Amino acid sequence: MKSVKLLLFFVIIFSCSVKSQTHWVVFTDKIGVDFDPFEYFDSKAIERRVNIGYDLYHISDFPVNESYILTVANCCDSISYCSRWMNAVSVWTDEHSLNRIAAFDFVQEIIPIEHGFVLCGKEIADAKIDTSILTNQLLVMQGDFFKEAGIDGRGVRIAVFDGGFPYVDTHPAFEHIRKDGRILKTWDFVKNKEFVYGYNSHGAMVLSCIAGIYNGQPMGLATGAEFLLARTEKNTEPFSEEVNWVAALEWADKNGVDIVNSSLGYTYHRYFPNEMDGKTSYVSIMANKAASKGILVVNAAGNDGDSQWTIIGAPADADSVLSVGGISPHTDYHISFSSVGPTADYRKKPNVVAFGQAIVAGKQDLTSAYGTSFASPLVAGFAACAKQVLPQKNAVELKEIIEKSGNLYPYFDYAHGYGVPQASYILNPEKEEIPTFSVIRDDDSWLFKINSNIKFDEESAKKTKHENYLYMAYVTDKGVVCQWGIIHVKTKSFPIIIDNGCEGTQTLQLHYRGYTLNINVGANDEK
Amino acid sequence: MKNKLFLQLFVVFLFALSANAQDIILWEKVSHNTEKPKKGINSTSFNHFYVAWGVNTAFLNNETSVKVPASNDYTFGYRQIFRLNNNLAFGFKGQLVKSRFSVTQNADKNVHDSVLHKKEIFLINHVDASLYLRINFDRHRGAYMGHFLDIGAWGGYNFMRQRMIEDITVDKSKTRIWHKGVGYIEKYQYGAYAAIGLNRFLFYARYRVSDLFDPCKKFSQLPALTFGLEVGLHK
Repeated sequence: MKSVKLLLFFVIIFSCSVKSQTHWVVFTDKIGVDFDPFEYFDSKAIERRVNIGYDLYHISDFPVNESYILTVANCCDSISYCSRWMNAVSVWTDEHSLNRIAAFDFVQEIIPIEHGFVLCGKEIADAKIDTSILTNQLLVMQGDFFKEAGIDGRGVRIAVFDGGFPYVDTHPAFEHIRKDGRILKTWDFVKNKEFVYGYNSHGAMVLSCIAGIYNGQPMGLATGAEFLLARTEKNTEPFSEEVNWVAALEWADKNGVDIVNSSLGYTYHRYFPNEMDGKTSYVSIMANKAASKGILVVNAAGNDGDSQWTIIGAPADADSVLSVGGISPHTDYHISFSSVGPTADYRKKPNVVAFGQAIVAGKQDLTSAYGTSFASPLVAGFAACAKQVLPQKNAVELKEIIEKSGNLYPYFDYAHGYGVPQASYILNPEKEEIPTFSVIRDDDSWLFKINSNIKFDEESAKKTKHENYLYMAYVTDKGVVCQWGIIHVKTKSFPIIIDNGCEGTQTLQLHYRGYTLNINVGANDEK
Repeated sequence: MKNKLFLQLFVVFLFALSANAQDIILWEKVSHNTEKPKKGINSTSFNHFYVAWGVNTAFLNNETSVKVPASNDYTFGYRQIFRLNNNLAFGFKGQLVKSRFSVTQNADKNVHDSVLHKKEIFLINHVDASLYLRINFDRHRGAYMGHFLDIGAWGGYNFMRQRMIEDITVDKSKTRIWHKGVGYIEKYQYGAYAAIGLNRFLFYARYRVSDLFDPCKKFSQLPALTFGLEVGLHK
């Protein structure tokens, strides 16, 4: 009797733990499937494809074979989504049924789907709103240049993927968008319905950083853009987010999107740091596919800079994604929580930065919010303006132009990327680079000296930090930045001790007041 | 050697700058996290401390009835996990457990004697070691514990065995009597262990297969089953 009860006890515990799971079932082909792009796509999606010379009858846009779907549907509990781009269906089923599905000759592979997205931001209840941040979150990107030129993202279509958009239908910060009917479509991919104006307020805050106007003051740069709002995330149902993200991307493509803002990241729940190579996670693969179709995905770098994970998550690791890190509005340099690069294969990420603390639309009024979630939409708004100025550029070209517009470019480090994008470069790419300093070698030491044409007052330099930052990065011969930092310059000249401590270091990259200088400091052969 | 040299150079670098009143406001090295770690969650090996609390409850008919949750275990332990693959791992854990059994005072009582007291408590402190197999249900996971089931066996040494009885005397004062080093409580115990877990949290059950009281004494045994919550002290 005793042993029977014991056995029963273990069986109960074991059975509680066994469950069905969600999987992608990827098919081998789309043979025998018909597709009419003019029927399926919004006219703007057709226009985008024609602009970049993308095949209107590309196989990835064809629907999934109906007979394959029906066969799989007969073997599983439920099918939640069919992805044209992946040529796959996401199914909810158990191990036994999966084995049956895997045996079909039209099934190429089965990929398990796990939970684990993280919204890259949080609202901090702050009774005292620092209005200077609201002004500066746009001024730091030279938003006034766009304003003077009448650029506000007009005609550009932006999709926002998030956890919900409560009060977007009522808050005064979005009144101008509602009035013009510029929220073109909405879809809740969690509940499969149109209504998205509820749930997690994160999406409303993010949207305000792209296009909000409060009491006449713009909160983002793309106040004239059109919007597609997709609810893709739900905290309490953790198995569907990546599926929803892919589904929303295809939906946005169909509806003619130009830019996608995605303020979320997939990190340790699903991946190891060495898998952040832009090729492993399928959201990264899909983000790259979106770029090939002319869609620029702007993604938050993540908020793991001061956690154990440290580096950027997926899909910010994807090559074609514009990954956005955060800087502090108080110091203008790396805000500690902002995830850093490089990718696992040592590619340069994040690409650019913006304020990691922003003033956003709160439930009642305005509120202060922290996270790269808010840096990302600030840059998405910038990207929309850039797209308005340069409509013929494809997603990859647009990303490169935004990188080049960075206030630190061509200097790069893994915390600041190429710096904060600057509107002046978008409006006039012919940037004249004026040398602001020189570095003179004197025997064993190097002397940093501010050029005489630069106005420099030592007394005020001690107080004013922002414009007196000297950025330093040691770059190896393989192009990897091995260490980097910022020095607050307080005197007109001072010696620099060159530390070529990194293996194979060849270049010290210095950046001061818009000018970048590369110094060859030789190789360090010590192993 | 290289690290030492780097440190020396960096200190000189700092001094040189501070001498000229330049502030280093940020200095970072590239993260080495881009390599798969050998130690850590879901890596080759991982270890962490944990704390747990559970209730001892009568499960079998011939067991002594005890008061719940006054009969409980406080545990502090160390766990080591060795990964075999994404879904299987094995490990061991060592723990210090403070067990308390508050015997229900009723006519069925058959522990030590049948005399009824206001309170009758057995306190048994023991050190245990367990071996277990971990089955993980997350097919694709990263540096993440996920959902898992542990099944294992354990054995322990009872280094403190006490019985306390409390009574109210005629003048309504409280008296407590402690019996230390109680001889009829076995020195060793062993049993089976199972847990279901999500990340740092585990709902566990320990089942004692061995007798706790010397079988020659013919006492009803103290409850063999403990249910509880364990919290891993890790990120």
